[in-house]
Amino acid sequence: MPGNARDTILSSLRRAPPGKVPDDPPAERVIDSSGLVDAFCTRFTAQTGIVHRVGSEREANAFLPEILKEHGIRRAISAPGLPGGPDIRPQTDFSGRRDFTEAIFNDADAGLTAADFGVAESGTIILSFNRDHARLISLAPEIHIAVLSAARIVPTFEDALSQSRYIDHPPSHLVFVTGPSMTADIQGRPFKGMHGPRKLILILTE
Amino acid sequence: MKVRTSQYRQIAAREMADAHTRRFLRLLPVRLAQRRQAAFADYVNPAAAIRSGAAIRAKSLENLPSLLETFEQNALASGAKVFWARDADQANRYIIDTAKENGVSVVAKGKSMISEEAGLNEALSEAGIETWETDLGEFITQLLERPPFHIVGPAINIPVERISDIFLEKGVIDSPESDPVRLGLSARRFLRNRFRRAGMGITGVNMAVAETGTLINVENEGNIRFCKSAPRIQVSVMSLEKVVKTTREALELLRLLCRSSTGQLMSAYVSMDCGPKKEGETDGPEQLHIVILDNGRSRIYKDPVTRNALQCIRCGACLNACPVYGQIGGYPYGWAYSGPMGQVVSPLLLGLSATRDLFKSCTLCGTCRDICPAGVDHPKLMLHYRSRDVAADPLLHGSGSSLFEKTMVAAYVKAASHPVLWEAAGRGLRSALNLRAKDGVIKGAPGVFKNWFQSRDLPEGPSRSFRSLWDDDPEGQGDDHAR
Amino acid sequence: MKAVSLFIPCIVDQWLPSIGMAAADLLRRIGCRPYFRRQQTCCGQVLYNSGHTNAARKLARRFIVIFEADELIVSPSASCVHMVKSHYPVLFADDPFWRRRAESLGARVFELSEFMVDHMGATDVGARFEGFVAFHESCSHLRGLGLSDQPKALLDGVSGLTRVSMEGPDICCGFGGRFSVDYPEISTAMAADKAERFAVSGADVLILGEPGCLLQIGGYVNRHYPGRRVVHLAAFLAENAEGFRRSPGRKEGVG
Repeated sequence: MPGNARDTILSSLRRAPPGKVPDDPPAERVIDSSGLVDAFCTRFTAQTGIVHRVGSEREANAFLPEILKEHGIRRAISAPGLPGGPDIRPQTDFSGRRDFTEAIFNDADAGLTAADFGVAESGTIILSFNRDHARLISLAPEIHIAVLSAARIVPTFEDALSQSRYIDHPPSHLVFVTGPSMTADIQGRPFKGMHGPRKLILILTE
Repeated sequence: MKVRTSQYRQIAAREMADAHTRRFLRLLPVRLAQRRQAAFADYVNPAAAIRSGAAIRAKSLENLPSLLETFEQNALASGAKVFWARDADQANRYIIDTAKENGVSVVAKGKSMISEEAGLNEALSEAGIETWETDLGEFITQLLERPPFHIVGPAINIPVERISDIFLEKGVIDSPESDPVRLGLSARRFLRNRFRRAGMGITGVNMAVAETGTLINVENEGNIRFCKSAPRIQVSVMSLEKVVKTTREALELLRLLCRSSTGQLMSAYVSMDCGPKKEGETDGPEQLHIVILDNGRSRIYKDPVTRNALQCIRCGACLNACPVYGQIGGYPYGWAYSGPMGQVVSPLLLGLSATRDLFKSCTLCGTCRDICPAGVDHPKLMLHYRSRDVAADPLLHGSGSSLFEKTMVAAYVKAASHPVLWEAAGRGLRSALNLRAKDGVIKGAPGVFKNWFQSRDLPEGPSRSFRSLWDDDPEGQGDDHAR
Repeated sequence: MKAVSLFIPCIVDQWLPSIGMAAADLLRRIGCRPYFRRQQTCCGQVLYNSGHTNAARKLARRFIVIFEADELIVSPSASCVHMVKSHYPVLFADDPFWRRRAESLGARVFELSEFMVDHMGATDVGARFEGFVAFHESCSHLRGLGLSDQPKALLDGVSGLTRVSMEGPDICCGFGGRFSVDYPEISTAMAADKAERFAVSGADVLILGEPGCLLQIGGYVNRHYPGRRVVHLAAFLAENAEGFRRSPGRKEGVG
């Protein structure tokens, strides 16, 4: 019975004698002297991520059709609240999970989402998911376009934690994205886009 | 997974003669070790970084029972189900029952070493549930029915021709293909279909955070994210030592794990789950089942010496550092765990008598211990297993030692306890071996010495030992001069 | 003059005595007076490493009794020193009385190059060698005792000598005591790699500080790269120092 296993395991663990515990503190990392946004962009692009820097959100909206065209995107699906357009279907367009899943797997060249934070220490963007932001948008299509304000770039993951509610109000799902999907599992030959997107594009607004 | 730990010697001999194995062992571990070193350069003091990881893991283990309780409490509060399994059978049955209750006939799996340990795939298949490994390397080894060659690249040694053959056979491709990228993309297409059809996604757990009841997975491909997004049920199998207290500690360990494993500052995807999908969310699992599996670990935990082996975070850095692994690759270790981490974990899970080669085939060079970000002291553990094995330890299933060995040891102790005997024995050995000496070198000798001389010479034994020469040396001054 | 008790490994006593004589010679050169306690035989490392812990403890107790009156104990082997310093306390983990004695003794035991360089401040023993040498960093020196600068400083103190870098100097040579005969194919492959790296390094001689490594690498090199030399650090320094006397009855093997 499940209950028995739990109790057996816990009581067994509790009966164990104490061990020696070293007290080493978290290790310091080298401080990057370049500007925060530059540091972030350098690391982001080092993983083959593509950054488009624009002035304002309005500029981002205007720029988006060009970006779609440049990367050959004919149909995109977006999380709501993001720039729209003739080729962009918001998540709310779909009547339910089945419809949405069908579309995200088969009818989308790209997924468009917001990012919560950019983390400069590793060129990572943080995505949190909720009723307005479905998981597969940034995963199933070959291209993922994320929109982020430069004001949301922080030096470290701890900074993102302290500026968010991730600990006291954890989302059901949270992902750190550092570059596109990749593998080198066959003979060590690397390539992008094994399961997730092969291209990661960031629209960075001021 | 079939346990082949008793075939270490045969498999090692075979692998050392295999051209593909040799080619990849020259490439992969070296490359990963270099990347690891480069990635650690962003720590002011890389050695301090490793010590901090060791401290987090030791602390987590010290508080394991209360951390597990806190984790469970928070996971339940988030809407997840938590199932404690004493052993592999219990875990497998729970997962199969859950699948059947929910009408699941297809399962998509993310890489999980503990599920390999538990033989989950075989159990699911036997229960008539179609199970697909979705990590490219695991997918290939699943189709070929092979164990993993390396933690990071389970199929990295397998030549494209073999992969093309098996892909052709299983309908992943419909004409032969020799390009690794095209093969990979074919697997992507094939597995995409499985993600869509899967009623259940099964993952392992890299870390479980007690303060929020969160599960963390680390990957580069995105298949684990798919397992957590497309199917309606998610099952995450966690070995009970994976829990840490806070998100901050998890972040420290994530940095160390990614740098140690592949030399990345952060892997492509780190996904964190707190409960199943919330009300109104479009995708993600409606049910999240967390299986906490013991399978011998609470027994291992009870002894503070063996407890150290539970600090491992499965980064694989020790494989790349190990000069023995570098000659033989992953197969000889005969199970889900290879390299030095396999050498310290498998004997505890399978018993010492079934895994003697694993803890004996080691020079105790210590390179693994020195780069381990989780504070595992592999040489110390291996010495412990050797000692427990000789002592026929019942708890660890030690084999004891042969009469011949016992006799030799007793004779050695006797000789070493009496300098006159010692000198006589030494002189006898030298005389015997020197019969085969020519021009100051011995190139062969019969019997037990064969193993040395098959590849190495030995200098001729000196006509006099040091202690004998010391008497003659005009400046030699005997024994008593400290007084 | 500092009196120094010689800790001569079993393998040196019975098979490679020239290393012991060289160590004594070097200690005299730097102003010490070495002496040899005749009761010593073996520190028990080979038994400990194969899991014969009770037997190892017997030899450890014997060793402690023999040496514990000495202020300074020096050995031309890092693995033996490591055994005493690091493993004796583990052997006596459950025996506070013997553990205390082991720890006290361990604090006074040193590897030869560490003693010469760190304690006596000596890096120049008056040796001269025109040529290129490579240095193999044995596991017990580097990872066991944290020694690397010391043996290198002694080599750099030899006039005319050029130390060349060799790839993977700190990779294990594959000796590992019984490992070399229990897993001979793997051990040989490791020796082969080490030998090849030496062969392409441009060095005339490979120097190392550990008798076990000497037998392993020297044994392989002698078989497969005849004419190339592998030498113990102490023997190399002593034989190239001025006024070096060869003791009667000594043979030149691979060391």
